Amino acid sequence: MSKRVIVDPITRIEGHLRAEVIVGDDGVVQDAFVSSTLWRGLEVIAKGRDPRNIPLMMQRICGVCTYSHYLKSTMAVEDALGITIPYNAELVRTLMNAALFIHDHPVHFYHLHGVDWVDIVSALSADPAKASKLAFKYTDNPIGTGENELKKVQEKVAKFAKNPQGLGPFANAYWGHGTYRFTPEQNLIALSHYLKALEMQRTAAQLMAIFGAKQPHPQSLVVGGVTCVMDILNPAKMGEYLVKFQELADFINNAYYADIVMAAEMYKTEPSVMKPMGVKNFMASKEFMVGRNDYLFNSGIIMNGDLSKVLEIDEDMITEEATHSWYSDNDPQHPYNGTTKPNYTGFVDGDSVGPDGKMVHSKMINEKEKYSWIKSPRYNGEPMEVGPLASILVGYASGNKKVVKVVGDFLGKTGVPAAALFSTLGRTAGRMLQAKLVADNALIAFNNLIENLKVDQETCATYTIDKDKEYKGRGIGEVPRGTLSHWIRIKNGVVENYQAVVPSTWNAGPMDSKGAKGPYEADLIGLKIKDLTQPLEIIRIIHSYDPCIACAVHVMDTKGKTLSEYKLDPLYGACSV
Amino acid sequence: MKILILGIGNILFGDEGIGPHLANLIDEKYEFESNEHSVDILDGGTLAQRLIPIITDYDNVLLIDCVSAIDGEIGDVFSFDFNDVPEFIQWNGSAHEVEMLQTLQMIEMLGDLPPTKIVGVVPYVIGENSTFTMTPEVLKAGLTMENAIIKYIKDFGVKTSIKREITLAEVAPNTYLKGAS
Repeated sequence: MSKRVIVDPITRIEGHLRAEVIVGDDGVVQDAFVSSTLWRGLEVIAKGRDPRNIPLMMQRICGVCTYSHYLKSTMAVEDALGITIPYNAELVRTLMNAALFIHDHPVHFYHLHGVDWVDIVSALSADPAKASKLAFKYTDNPIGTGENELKKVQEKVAKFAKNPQGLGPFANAYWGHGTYRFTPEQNLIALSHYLKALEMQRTAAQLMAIFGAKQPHPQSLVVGGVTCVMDILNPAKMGEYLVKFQELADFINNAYYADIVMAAEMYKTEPSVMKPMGVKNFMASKEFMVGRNDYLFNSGIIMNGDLSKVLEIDEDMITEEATHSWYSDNDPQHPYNGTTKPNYTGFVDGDSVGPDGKMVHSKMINEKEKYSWIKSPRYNGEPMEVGPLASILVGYASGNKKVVKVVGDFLGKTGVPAAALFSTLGRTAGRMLQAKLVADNALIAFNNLIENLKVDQETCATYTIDKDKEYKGRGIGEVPRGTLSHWIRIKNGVVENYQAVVPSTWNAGPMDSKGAKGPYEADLIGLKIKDLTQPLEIIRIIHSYDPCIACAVHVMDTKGKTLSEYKLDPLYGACSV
Repeated sequence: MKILILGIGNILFGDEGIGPHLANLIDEKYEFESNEHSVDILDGGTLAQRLIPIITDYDNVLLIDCVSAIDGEIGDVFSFDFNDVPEFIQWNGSAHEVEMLQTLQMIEMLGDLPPTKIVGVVPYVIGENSTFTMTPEVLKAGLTMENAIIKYIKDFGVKTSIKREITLAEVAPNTYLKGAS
C-alpha cells in the first residue's frame, strides 16, 4: 500500500519548504507535492511609492539575493522610464554581479548542498596521508589538502562535534546513509573545502562591498546607473577587487571544480542522482555584459530537452496562476497585471510515515485544493526549469563558444554523457560550471572598464518622471538561482502595480489548472527512496535547485542545553542614561 | 575593545524588522564615549553569512533579533549568551535555517566567534500585508530591549548620552532609505 512521507521543514535552504511524497511498497515515489508555507506579500508594500526608492526596498526581500533583487528592480524602473544606462555603469554592475555569483555558488555547494554528497562522519575516519595524495587526481593545484592541514580539519570537526551545541551545522543529517558514495578520504577532502569555503566567503562578501558603497545591503545602484564613481576611479580599490577576485577564482577552479569532478566520478552510478528530471523545459536570460553587446550568458528556451533548437523568449507568454496556491485569483495573469490577494485554506488531517517508520497522524497538504504560497509561473502554458543548468544548456545549445568548451571539458574529464546533464548531478554540475565561467571571464569586463574610463567617465544617465504619463517596464536576467524578473507599472509618478517572479517560484510552484507539475514536484516522481525515515534522496534533489523561498519571516530560534539567562521584565532593567 | 550592536531581521515584515529598526534607533538617539572602547551599530538586514567578515572583526557582539519561545507571548523579551541558549527558546523550523544561528555556528567552528549576546523579542508573525510598522506589543518591548542594549554597552564602561529623542515608530518607515542619498 502506498504511504505518504512528509519532509518539513527542508533545512539548509533559504526559507521554509515542505515536501510530501506518496511512496509505493517498492519505495518509489508515485506522486509529490511541494508547498511553501510562508507568506510573501512584498508586492503590497510597493504600491503608491516613489519608483526610485523601490530598488532599495526590494533588495530587502532576501538575505541571500539582496543584490539580485536590487539589480533587477533597478532595471525594471529603468526599462519603464526608457533609460539607457552608461557603459561604465553596465560594467560595474557586471563586476558586482560576478562577486555575487562566485560567492553564492560555492556557498550553496559546500554549506547547503554539500552535506547531501559528503558524509562528515566518514571523513573523521579517513587517512589524511592517502587523502592528500588523492587530491592530485582531481586537480594539479589542490587547495587545503596538505596532510597536516587535513589532520587539523579532522581534529577541529571532531572537537566541534563534542561541544554542547553538538554538530552544529552538521546536526540532523543522515550520516552513514546508503546513498553516500565518497570514500572516507574523498569525504575528508570535501570537508576541508567546506571549512576553506567559509573563509573564502569572507573575501567574497568584501568583494561585493568594494563597489557596493555600503555593506550590508549595497546602495551604489541608482535608477540611471551607479554612484560608486570615486571607487572605480581609485586604483587601490580596483586593485583590491582584482586580488580578491583572483583568490576566489582560484578556489573555484582548484577546489569547487575538482570536487564536482570527484562527485561525478563517484555518483554517476547512483540511481537517485542520475534519475532523469521530470520537467525538461528550460528558460534562461542574457546576463553579464563583459563588453559592448557581448554577454557571457545567452537568452532562450529549450523545450523537451531538445538541444538542437533554442527558442527566443516572448515575454508576453509569461504568466502566473494560482489554482493550487493560497491566492484568490486562480486564472493565469501576466505579471504586469498580477494580483496578490491571499486566500489561505490550510492543511487537512491524514496519516504519514513517522520518524520511527510507523504511521502517525499528521496535518497534510490538500492537493485537490490550494496548498502553497508559491504561485505557478508558466511559459506559453508550460512549466519551465530556471537556474544555472538552464543557463548552461541554453548557452551550450546556442553554440556559445565559452560554454561549449567548459561543458565539453567537464564531460570529457568525467566520462559522463551529455544526456546525464538532465539530472540532479547535472544541476549541481551546471552551477559549478556557471561559477567557473564567471570566474574565468568576468575580468574581461574589468579590463574593458579600465579602458573605457580613460575616455569616458560617465556613470549615470539623467531622466525625468512625467506624472501625467503611465509607464511599465521589467528587469529580467540571470541571478545565481536562475531567471529573475521584476515587473513595474507607474502611474501619477508612483507605483501602480509591482510583481516579482523569482527563480524558485518557477521551480517550486505547485500544480497548474491542467494538473501539470512544476520542476520540484515532477522531479521527485519516480525517485526510489531507500529508507522512508531518512529521505536523503528527496533532500538531495530539492537542494540541487538551490531553493530560496525566504522573502519571509526570520526568527532566531534554537535549542539549547542549559537555562542561562532570563526573560527581561519591562519593570526592571530600566536604565537611566 | 571593538563592540558591535547588530540588528537582524526583515524590515518588510512588520515586527520581524525590529532588529534593523532598533539598531537605527540606537544610532540616531545615542552618543557613546569611551577611551578604551568603540561601539559600532549596524543594520544587518537578513544577510546572515554575508555578515561573517563583519562579525569576526569585533571583540564583542550584541545581536538584536526575533526569537521564538515555548509559551512566549508577542512582545516578550529574552536576553542570553549564544553559548548558553535557554531551553525554552525553541527551534520552530522558521525561515532562518541558513541564517543567523548557522552563521554563528560556522564562525564558531572556525574558532573566531567573539563573545556574542542576543537580545530577542517574540514577534507577531505577519499574516497578510507587508508593512514597515510594528505591533504595539513589540513597540513597547522595544523600550525593554533598548534598555538592555544600553546596559550592555554601559557595562563595558562606555559613557552613554542622548543626543536626540526619537521613537521606534518614527525610525521604522525610513530604515530602508538609511544610507541612501
